[in-house]
Amino acid sequence: MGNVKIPCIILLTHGRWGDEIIKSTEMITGPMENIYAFSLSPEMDIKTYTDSIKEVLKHSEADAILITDLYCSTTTNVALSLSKDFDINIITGLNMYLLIQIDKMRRKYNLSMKDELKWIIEENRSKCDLLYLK
Amino acid sequence: MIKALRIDHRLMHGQVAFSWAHYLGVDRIIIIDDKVANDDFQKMVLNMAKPAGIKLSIFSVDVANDNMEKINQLNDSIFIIFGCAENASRFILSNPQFSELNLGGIAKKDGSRKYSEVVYLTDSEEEDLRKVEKLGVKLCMQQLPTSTKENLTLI
Repeated sequence: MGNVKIPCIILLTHGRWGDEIIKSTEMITGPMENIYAFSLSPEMDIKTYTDSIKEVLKHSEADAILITDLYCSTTTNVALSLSKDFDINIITGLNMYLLIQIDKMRRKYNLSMKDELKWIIEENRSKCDLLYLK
Repeated sequence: MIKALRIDHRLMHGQVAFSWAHYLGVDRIIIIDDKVANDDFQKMVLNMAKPAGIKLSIFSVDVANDNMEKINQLNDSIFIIFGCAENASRFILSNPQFSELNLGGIAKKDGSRKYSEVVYLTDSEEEDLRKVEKLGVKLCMQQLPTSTKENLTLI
C-alpha cells in the first residue's frame, strides 16, 4: 500500500500561538501529521518568514492549506503573496474548531479541496456565537 | 487632511490597519511605495487585505507628488505609509508641509545599525532621514499608539 501524504496544513501566526494551538488541538484529535506553524516575531523580516514557508511548500504544495490568524495583516499578506507562485488554499481566522474540522477532512475528502473548505468555513461561522442557557 | 506619516516595511498590517487606523480615525490609507506601485500582484494583495470601511490608495512617489494638490483637498482623514526611508525622504522633501515622521518598522539588513527592536538603518537610510530632519521634521519611533514614543535625531 502506498504512503500517500495528506495535504499539509500551515499555520501563520503573530507570535507562537500557532505552535500552541497545534498542541492544544492534539489534546482532542491525537497527534496530527504534516502540520507546520510559522511564528512571526516583531523583528523578523518578511523575506525570511516567507522563504521558510516556501521551503515546506516546495515539497508539499498539493492541496496545501494555509491558515492565518488575522486578516489585514502581515501573516495574511505573506500567504497571499505565496499564492502567486504556489497553488495553495488560504483561510484567515484560525481557531480550534476550524483546525479540527480541516484535519479530519484532509484525511479523506471527496469534493475538491476548495469546495470542502468552503463548506467547513460556512459551518464554522455558527461556532463563534453567543451562548444562552434556556 | 493628512493625519500622520509612517515608514513601515510591512506596509498595511495589523498594527496599521487596526490600532493606528482606529486611533487616528482615518478614512483613507495612502501607501507611497515605488516597488509596490509597480507590482499589480502586490496591489491586489493589499486591496484584499484592507480593513472594512477604509479606502486604500497606492502610489509611487512621483505619482503622489503629482497629485498632492488633490490629496490635500480630500475630506478624508488620511494616513500615509511609506515602505522605505528613501521613498519617504524623497516625498517629504518635495512636499515640505509635514512636522513629524514615525519610523514604525524598518527591517534589519547587512550593515544596518539597530535603533530599536524594529528599526534598523543603513548608512544611506540614515542619510535619507537626516535630510528630512534638517527640514525641521521631527523623527520618532512608535510601534503602537500605546507604545512609548521615542524621539530620534540623526543630525
